[in-house]
Amino acid sequence: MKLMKKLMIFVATLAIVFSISACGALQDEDTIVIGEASWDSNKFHNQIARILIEEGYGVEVDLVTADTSVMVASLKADNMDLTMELWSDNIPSYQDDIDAGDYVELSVNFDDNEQGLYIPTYLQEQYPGLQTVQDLPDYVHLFPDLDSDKGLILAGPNGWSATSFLKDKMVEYNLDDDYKLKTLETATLYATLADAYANEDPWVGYNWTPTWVSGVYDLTLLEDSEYNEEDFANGIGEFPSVDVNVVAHPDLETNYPEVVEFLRNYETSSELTSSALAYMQENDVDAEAAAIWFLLENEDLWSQWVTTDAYDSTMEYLNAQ
Amino acid sequence: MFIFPESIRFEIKDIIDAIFEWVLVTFNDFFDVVADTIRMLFNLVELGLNYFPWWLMVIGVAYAGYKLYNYKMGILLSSMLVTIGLFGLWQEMIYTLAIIIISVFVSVIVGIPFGILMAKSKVVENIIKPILDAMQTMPSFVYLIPAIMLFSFGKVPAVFATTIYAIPPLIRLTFLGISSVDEEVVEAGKSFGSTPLQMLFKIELPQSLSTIMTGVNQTTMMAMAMVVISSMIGAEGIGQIVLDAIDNLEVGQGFQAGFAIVFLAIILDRLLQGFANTFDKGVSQDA
Repeated sequence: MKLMKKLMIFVATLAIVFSISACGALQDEDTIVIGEASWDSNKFHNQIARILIEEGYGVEVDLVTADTSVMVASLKADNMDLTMELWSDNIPSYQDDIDAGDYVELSVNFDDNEQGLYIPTYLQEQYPGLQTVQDLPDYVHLFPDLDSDKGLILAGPNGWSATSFLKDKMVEYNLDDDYKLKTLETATLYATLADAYANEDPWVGYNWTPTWVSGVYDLTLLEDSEYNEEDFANGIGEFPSVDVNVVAHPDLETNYPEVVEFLRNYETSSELTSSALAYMQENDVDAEAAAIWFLLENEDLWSQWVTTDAYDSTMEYLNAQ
Repeated sequence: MFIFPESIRFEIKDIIDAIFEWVLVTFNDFFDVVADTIRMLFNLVELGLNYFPWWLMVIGVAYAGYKLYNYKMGILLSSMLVTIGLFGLWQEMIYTLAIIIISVFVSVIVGIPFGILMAKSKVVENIIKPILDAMQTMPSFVYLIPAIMLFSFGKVPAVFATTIYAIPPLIRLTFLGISSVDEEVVEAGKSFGSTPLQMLFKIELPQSLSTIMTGVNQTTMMAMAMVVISSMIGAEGIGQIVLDAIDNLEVGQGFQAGFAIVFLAIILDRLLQGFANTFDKGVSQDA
């Protein structure tokens, strides 16, 4: 009986050790691990990268779902090799991490996006006076908070730079006299928007482009004073267009120099990304299908990113689809 | 050959979407009333909890620990409560506690009758059991999002989601308690000519009280586990502190708030368990 028990423990330990080392081998040796955030534009860019890396360069790709904060931590810890869409301005430690060599910026994926406080367009049609962030105090009755006598502005998750910027804005614009800022996880934020939209109720909250939300719901950005760097640090003015970067662990360049060369050329735009997201939503297809469609449609664009060999083998794959 | 053929598909997601949309539009007013009721209940409980000064709560917990166990348990539990205060999480704890109390309250009101019905009728048992299984295994994120659409965000959907998650053990243990009341005791009741209602309230419920209290204890622990998750739908309290810590990659803050949740759970668990044990003794003495 005792021997049996010992044997069992031994076998169990062995199994654990093997499975751990197997995991390590799978991740490190011959695959590139790409972090995948929950939003569709990230999934779309990941699929493009996956197809080009797998078909063009013959390297296996593993997509791992992770939150932005988890992604940054994983890049630092070398559990992840690459992320195609890092909203670097939303990461407070970004510049420090780059300086410290924790990860490297390979290219700017796109930098022509919008962020800020949005309202549904139907609301602006009902209240044409609500044009700017500064107008909000006059319309506080539209956005009542059920737990206090103030109004409610919905923000993204805590820890995003955009969220702390909005917090500063609340103070600078004296919005906090009339409004409370509620931070919500993105899924929750969108659920409140979906609910408001279904009943044509008022809604004011943070959003950004490109995202499927902007494709499905007709939203209008509340205007703000023009961006300048000094004011922005204090929460004044509109959001600038931010860089959305392709970021990798430093070792990726040593292990896969050809792939990194392709990634350095990777550049799309907010508009191109939105077109793919709209394609996904309208045809009810997944990111992979959208990526294949995008690659077939925009051959001129990506043929400049990759080597001739990679181009040929990818085309072969695409035509077989 | 080994892969399930793509040509054979029957998916239920569109049906569920359609049903949910219909429910959303049709019962909009009804859900508003439910939401207002829960919100009122919450404010009432929070007000009630804030009515007691913090030191009175600490003394109360110490006394209960001493009465139910011994003086060591009293000191241990009350110092855990003080630690939550020292961490600066007292107000958050009150909020969390209020959500738990209401969820457990709703669970008791809804759960015990269902447990009794299950014990009385084989048909009800066969219907409810698989539903309970589904409630316990369905990933909670799945019903968090519809909960927001029904009740907006914050405390109301948090109570809703917490109740769904926490109610099954109470129903199960009520069922178990009632159906395992001694056959001879039931016979004795019958021979004295008690009506079914008398039987239930004078014999079956008192006899199974200790099992039901164990169910209340388990339900409370389940509710406790849901508290952090419900912060994802905008509920405040200690869960919100944990979530913020995760979002900001603050390991220390995360653990500090995490320990506060552990302490609160231990306090609630020990007190409820000690309370359930007193019923055990009472019943055996009567018999």
